[in-house]
Amino acid sequence: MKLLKYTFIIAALITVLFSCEKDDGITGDPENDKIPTITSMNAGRDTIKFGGDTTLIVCEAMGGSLNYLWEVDLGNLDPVGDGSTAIFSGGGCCVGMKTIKCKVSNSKGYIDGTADVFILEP
Amino acid sequence: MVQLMFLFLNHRDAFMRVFTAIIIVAIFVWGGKSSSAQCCTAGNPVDASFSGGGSKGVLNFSTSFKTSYSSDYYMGNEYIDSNYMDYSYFNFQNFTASYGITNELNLRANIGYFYSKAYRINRNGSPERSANGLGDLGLNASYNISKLIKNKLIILPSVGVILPVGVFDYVDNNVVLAIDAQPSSGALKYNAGVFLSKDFLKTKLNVFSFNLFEYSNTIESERTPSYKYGNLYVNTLGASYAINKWFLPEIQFRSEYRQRAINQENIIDYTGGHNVFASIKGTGKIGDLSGNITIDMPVYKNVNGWQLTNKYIVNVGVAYRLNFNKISHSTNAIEVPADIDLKTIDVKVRGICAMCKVRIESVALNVKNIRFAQYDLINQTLSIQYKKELNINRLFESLSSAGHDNEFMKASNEAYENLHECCKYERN
Repeated sequence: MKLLKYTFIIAALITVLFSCEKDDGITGDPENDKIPTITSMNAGRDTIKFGGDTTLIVCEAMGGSLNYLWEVDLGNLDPVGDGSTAIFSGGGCCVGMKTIKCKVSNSKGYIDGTADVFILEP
Repeated sequence: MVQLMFLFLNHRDAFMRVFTAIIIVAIFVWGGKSSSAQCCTAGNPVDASFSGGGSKGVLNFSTSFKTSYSSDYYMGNEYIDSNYMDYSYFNFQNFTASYGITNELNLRANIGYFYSKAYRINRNGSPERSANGLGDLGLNASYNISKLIKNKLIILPSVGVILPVGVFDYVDNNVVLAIDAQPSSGALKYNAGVFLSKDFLKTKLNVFSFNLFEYSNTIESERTPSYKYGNLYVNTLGASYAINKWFLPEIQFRSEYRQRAINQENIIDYTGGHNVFASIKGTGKIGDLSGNITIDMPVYKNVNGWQLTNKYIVNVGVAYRLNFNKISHSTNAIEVPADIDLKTIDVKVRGICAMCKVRIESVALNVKNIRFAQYDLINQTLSIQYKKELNINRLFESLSSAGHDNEFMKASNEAYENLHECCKYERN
């Protein structure tokens, strides 16, 4: 009887030790356990003229609930939709090669992606 | 030309009233399609004013609010109908403090804050982009070399630095704004200038010139690998006339030439240019407090390529002068019990500059039984309040010993020659 009792206790301990998982507060979305990954980032047109021409920059990423932050040194960016796409245009001060950066983040961290667009004189 | 000069000198008060009226009308006539300084430059707006100089121990505070709106495109010197950017504007507050370390050496600091710096692209669905925050910090030192070269012309060379202490990575709706939309310029800049000034017509008329060169370092940051604003050359020529001791209108012509910017060693053709402005300013004074309003209008414009330019700039400011000298403090008075009976008298005393004012007031307050002294530089009149026991001759003797002719006693040649060069009024 004692042997059965101890066997039961040991089995219960083993079950508890090997079946508990770490709870990080995120339920139902295993992709949030990882830093985002950018699957593709590109510009619809890699050459535009300043003063009215626009191009779509698309930043496709995976990683659960994502935030997008756009940046370029000169020019105008307007995110649309869920923020993974931005409309880019530039004025006269922006002539030349522009590197548009998309910073994708979730609760685990962030990753940067870039796309180049050349702005020409009209 | 000579006849016109004599006509002006003989009827200068009437001339200045007419001149002021013409300027006021011109503001409304030119206001329709006027525009002003180049827009779309990062950092604090160009400030061609000069508040250096001043006496030892005198602290000047000033703050001004500047608003600007831009919606006109120019190509070279012609207006063009471009619809890329709908508009841009800024609302900016500048704070300046300057202090006289000595009568020659003056230190100045200024910092700016953008309440808003915004623009909108002319495209359906494009929102207004706006930033706010601290701009750049400017530090400047000027030195009056008039005494060194024994000249009545005020000559103040200055050197300074502009530090990009403010916001350079403002985020607006998930977009880090472009560098030219940020409050701070992001660039360390150096400047050197010289201020020239001379009084005429017993200090009623002041003619001045301020000339500045600003060199911008390359911005090397995570945001931009290598961007350099064009160097800036500013030249001003202006004049102010004291209609009375409370009101001082001023007109100024200012040339701003900015070289093209360079991005990653490539010259950006559609930046920089040459602009000349006429600036109208009115200043009102009550004691040590003054207020001013300035309107800038372009009279010549030639931008590189095509660029957005300002429609107007209006600047409203106030300034306060605090005198830390031992006896002549801001109220120029010694505290007395209310029941002491004081008499008042005005005395004509020769003097031509702020340094003279400080000296004359100090000398007067050092005379026994004088309780209040204030010198009016424009009318060259010293007003004193004194107890009836005052020996008035002591006042006249003290003023003449200090080098200042007065209506009852003339200063000796030796005392006059000991005055600072900029204090040497013309002697009859």
